[in-house]
Amino acid sequence: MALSIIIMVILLGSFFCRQGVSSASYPTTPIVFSNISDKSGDYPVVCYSTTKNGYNVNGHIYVKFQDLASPLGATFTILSGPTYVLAINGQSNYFYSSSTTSYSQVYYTILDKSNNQTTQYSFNFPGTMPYPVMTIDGYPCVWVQYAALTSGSLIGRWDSSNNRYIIYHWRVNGNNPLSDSNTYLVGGEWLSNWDSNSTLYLSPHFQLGGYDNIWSNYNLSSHPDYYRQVKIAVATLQSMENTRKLMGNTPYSPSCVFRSYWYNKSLSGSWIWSWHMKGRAMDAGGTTMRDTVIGDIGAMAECPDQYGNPRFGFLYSTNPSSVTQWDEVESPALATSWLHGQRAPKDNCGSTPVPHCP
Amino acid sequence: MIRKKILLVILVILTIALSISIKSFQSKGEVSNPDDAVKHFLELVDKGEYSKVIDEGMVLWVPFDPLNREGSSGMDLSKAEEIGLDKVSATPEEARNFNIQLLKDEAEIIKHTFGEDAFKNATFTKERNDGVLDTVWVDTRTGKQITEQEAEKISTNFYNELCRENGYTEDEVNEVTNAAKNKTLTKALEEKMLKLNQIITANASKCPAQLKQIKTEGYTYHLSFGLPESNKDYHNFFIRIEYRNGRWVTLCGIEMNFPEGEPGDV
Repeated sequence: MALSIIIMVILLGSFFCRQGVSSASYPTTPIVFSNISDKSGDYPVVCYSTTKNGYNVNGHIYVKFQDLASPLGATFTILSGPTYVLAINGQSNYFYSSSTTSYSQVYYTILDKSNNQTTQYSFNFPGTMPYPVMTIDGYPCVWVQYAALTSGSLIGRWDSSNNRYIIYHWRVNGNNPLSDSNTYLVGGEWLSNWDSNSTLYLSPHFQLGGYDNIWSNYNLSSHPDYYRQVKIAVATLQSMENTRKLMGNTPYSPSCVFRSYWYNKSLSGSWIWSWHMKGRAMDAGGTTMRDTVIGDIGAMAECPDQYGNPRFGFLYSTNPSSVTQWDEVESPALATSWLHGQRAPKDNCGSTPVPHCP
Repeated sequence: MIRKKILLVILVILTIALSISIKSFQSKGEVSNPDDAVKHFLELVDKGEYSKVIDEGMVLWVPFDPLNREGSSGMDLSKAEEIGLDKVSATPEEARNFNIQLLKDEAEIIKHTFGEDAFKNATFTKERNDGVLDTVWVDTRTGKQITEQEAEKISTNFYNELCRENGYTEDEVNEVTNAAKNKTLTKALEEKMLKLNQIITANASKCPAQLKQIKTEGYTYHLSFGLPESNKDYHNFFIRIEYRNGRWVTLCGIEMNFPEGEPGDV
């Protein structure tokens, strides 16, 4: 009797032992989500950050979809399949279980004020990741490099000095992502046949590459992944079209729209938080276009920055009914002989300040 | 009398078995008491049992490498940085060895600086730090946290039903999904995908499975090695332990910041 109880207890104990032991499939690796700060080093200093645990899958860093979504303010949805959808700023990125395929989809409309026609555009691209979506510890995970960039991050990179992966995205603000109601078109060489889309019209009169060079055509050999990267707000595209209308429907080609981090850094005198890197600025034309737009928006004064200091050189719109709808322009006091227009949200001129790293 | 003795023996065995089973319930990286876990960590490091520390999941990552020994584990880290990608050729075993070596090197610096018994004599201060947020799935109907698998089931059922209500059969939805997955989308299917996406986006907030950020209870332990200057300002040697899903889990192992020119800076 006693012996059988002892045997039972031992068996029960060994059962508990086996049940209790569980092990992670892969070592964890910190993934840091950071806003974007100075341009003094090779990469921005980490700031306003939060850290999640990723997985090191044979040297490739994976992130849980839900951990990628929350610091960026994205929505994560699971559909049948299962299909995993990361939706952020009007863009839906589809990922599929055990698959290297992804699909990026944005639909938007542009009003051509020259004929008052509204046209619907699509910016839809398949992409192929080098590593498939995986389930790790019961969580669907994706190769972080790809998913971060396609979700609008400016940079995603492995920090070998600190054994961590860093995602730089303008919406990161610790655990409380900044709100941004803009719809963005996001792309880069991670999408299929990206280079062949040079002449793709994003709006009635402006092309992705070609003469308009909306993408950042800066070929830096040390960071090839960012060659021809683009992120542009639909609002910026709309103001580009509106400016054409304001200038008597005269065709023009912007000199600069989106700037990658390294392209911006390479330019002497560029602002370290340039809105070109946010996809919400355009440079074009000469003094005539600049001054015409200044008149159109009723440009006044300078906006203070988040610390209340005057931001030298920016004028803001006082005319809500302006043709161009630019929210800010660079002041002629900066001796710029072209139009530099910026779209909302304004830095700190309105009621909602947009903080950025010091 | 004999019966009483047998019962006593059974009671003792049951008690031992119960304590074994409770201890065994602790899975890798999980501890029942954070203070005990830190003490256990110090004992293992004192004895030089670095691999045991890693294998018990106590140090899940070592975020700062004061020796800056890039590539010492055989990982081609310099190349990864150069091309801006994380194509690092490390297997889980290599990553384990790397962490063991890192822990060993850093512990030996401490022993070299503060004496062989540095970890034996180490004391710690405990700081409550709940600032870390975790993202979990919640069933909004019950307000309770659910597993990833439950969330997937609830979510797919909800969206399948939603698509049906909007006139799309399961076959139609699968056709679009498979075409997107296989890169064979036609213009017509692309438009169907857009419509489905609009329905899904417009109703996403109604799905009972929602992600929610929650605060996790956590502690940071600052270690001191017996000498006046080995305080937390001097050596930021800490262990972070968090309470997640009803269990204490070590998330970060140690982090050491050696100010330039100070002892330990090699």
